[in-house]
Amino acid sequence: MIFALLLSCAPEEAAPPTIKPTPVVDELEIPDISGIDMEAAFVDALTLALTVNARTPFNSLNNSFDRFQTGCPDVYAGIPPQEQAEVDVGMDAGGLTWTDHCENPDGGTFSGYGWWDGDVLVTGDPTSAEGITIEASREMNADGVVGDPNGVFFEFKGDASDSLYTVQADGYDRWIYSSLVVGTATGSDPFPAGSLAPAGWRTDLYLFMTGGDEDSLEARGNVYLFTGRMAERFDSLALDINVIGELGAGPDDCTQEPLGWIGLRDENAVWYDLIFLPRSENDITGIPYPNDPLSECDGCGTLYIRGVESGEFCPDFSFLFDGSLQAPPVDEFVSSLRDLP
Amino acid sequence: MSHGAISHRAGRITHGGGLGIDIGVTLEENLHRGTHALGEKILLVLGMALLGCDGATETGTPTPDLPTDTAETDVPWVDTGVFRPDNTGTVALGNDVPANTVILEQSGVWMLSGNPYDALIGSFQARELINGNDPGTGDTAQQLDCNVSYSLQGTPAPPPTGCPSCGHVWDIQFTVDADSITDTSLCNDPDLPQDGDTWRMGYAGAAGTIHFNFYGSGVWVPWWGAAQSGDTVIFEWTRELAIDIPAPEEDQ
Repeated sequence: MIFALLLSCAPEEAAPPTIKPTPVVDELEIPDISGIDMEAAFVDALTLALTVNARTPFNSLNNSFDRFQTGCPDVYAGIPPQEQAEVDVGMDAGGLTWTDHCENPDGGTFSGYGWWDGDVLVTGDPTSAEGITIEASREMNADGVVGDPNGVFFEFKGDASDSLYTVQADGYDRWIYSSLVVGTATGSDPFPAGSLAPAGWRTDLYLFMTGGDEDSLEARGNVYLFTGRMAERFDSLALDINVIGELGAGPDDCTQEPLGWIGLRDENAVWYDLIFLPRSENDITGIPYPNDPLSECDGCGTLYIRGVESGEFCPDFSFLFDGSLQAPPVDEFVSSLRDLP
Repeated sequence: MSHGAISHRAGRITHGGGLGIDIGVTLEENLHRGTHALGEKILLVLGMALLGCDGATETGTPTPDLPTDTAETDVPWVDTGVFRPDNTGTVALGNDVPANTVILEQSGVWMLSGNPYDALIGSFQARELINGNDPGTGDTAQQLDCNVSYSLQGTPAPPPTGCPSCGHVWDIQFTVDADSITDTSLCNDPDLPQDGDTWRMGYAGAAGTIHFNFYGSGVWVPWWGAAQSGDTVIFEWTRELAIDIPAPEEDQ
């Protein structure tokens, strides 16, 4: 295109333009972290990650029901017409959808839509050898805002789903909770004052955790904070970890540190990656694992800043399995038309 | 990246793309890079145009059509992936009105016997009226797709801890009548009992409700408004919802 322009309309005496090359940085600048408690920052990051799950949008959806009034918003059985709301689920999906652009007499405002569906199934007897099994799941697709006179009460765009599985019998207890949120959430209800994410987050985080007779946690994905900073510096986290607790660990499992890595990003878009033991053979097949040969089951990871090795750090993640990691109560999965006013 | 073994772009550790989407952390970086690249392109094109076309105008040479740059680019010219929440309180609210509505009607009766009560029989009917049509007033063949009648049989259940106000509690089996006009598949209520289901329910006289142990979860949900007179409990519930009725496909 440039040559075409030159050939077609530039006078012969025109001098070729001077193109100034983009300056090349001779040496990577590594940020100073001497004033940062990096270990606490990674603990804060994992603490935050555990709160980024489907419970947040579902709890706020349920709290939004108090603001519903007849006709504002409209509540559809199943999916509304496409011209009303482009709900991104199958046409035969059941569930319910709120959709409207309205303000009701109490000042509740609704703009957009929110579809949700869920199931609870309980089988068995807790006094039997097989015990009682609870299976619950729910999903949401939304692009809507619920407001009140104080502003945005709850806003969510994207998809959220989670599931709960518990088995309880005499002397036996096992629970599994998994969650996937690909979306954006904000509002005063999900993120009240003092929240770890004061203005909400954008995420694609997957969580899988078990408790009872086996403690474990998997977390994979990204979280971006609109405001608020981890360790007053980091606005994003990315992670791909497996953590194995003492309960249920095999003889070769490392319970001292996670498997995988956790990354934090500062406001200058510099990533700080703490690399632990590889999660599996796949991590070290083909491409050398970053902190090899430093990998040891010692509770410490190797920090890389902009890819440059920057020391070892040993965050204390023992809080994960001291009882603070809990399955949500099945109550949260109970939802019916009767909840609507 | 030559320093260290981690590549945020092409290596094993990739931020922002773990589940197949880009979130802002990488988009912002991409946009940052894209802005530089875009700026350079614009400057180049503007520079060329200024250098070349000023002279052309002076000499009267016809200005050719500008060529179109069809080369593929990976620059995210328009950021369509980032959703930043906005306070939409200023958005004009028009109060959408649904084109169609459905009224869910449920009613029934429990007849109790024994002293204390040790048996329950009864009936239950669920029907759904599209756009308020009453089956007794006109052509309702297309307007009353859900009209299910059940027979109920209950056995006493132990008092629940989750429903202290429940007076008498029952395990109630729902059996769709053989002469029911429709089955449950045509109904829109997501929580309609299916043929053969057994639900644990309790009558709370003070509250005037029948509670449902929600699918055995231990969470007791007020389910039907109810009133007891003698050994008979009558209950009912109504809800209106919007509904999408797809237009029938025209024959080709």
